[in-house]
Amino acid sequence: MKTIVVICVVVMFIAFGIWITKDNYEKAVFKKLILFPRWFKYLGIVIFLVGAILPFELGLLYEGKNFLGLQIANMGLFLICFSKDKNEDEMINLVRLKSFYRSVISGFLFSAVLYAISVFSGNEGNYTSATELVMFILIVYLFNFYITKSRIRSEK
Amino acid sequence: MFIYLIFISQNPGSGVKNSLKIERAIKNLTQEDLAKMIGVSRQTINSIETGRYVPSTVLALKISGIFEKPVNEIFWLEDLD
Repeated sequence: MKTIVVICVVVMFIAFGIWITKDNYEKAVFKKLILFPRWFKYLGIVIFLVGAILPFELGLLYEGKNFLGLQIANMGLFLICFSKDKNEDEMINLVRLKSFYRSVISGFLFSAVLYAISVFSGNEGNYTSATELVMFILIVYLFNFYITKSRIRSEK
Repeated sequence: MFIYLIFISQNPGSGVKNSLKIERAIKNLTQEDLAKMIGVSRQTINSIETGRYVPSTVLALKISGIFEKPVNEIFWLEDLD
């Protein structure tokens, strides 16, 4: 099982590497963002809720922590974050990029602050897990995106 | 972190002004009508009119096509001096 997961991850990295180094990649950067269809948002919500609730119900916790659920919930959040909006135009694309930029910087600060806290509390080596960091970035992105959008909508 | 929060909360003006609202009134178009004609949301038109968002060249050309005027008669650079 572990070998299959490692092979899948390696294949994904190679595919990503080929994608960003292919000839017309720099042209694709200037085109509209490639996003999932709108109905993926609802699928994402269902997957997120399954990941957040089901492991507790089925007793799939590992050392009292919902590791599996976090991974599934991240997949759900990913689908919610990167599915099309009702009116996906160039301004919404810009709001997405700005929100993502802010969320990545927030994620960096989040990990730095948690590391500083762990050092001061004497638990050095207690790093933030990648899963938690990805979840934090995706949640901050969602908040940023929808708050900015609602502000734009409410402005006269 | 505080420096970052101050940094992201700053919102300098776009530096571009436009006469979109006037042109719309002349043609008797609502924001919704114009939005449908050029394939964007009403919020995008509102943001352009208020100067918060500067449209791409493609969008500016679509707008100029609808109002049958050159782009620089609808959008112009704000005098920053």
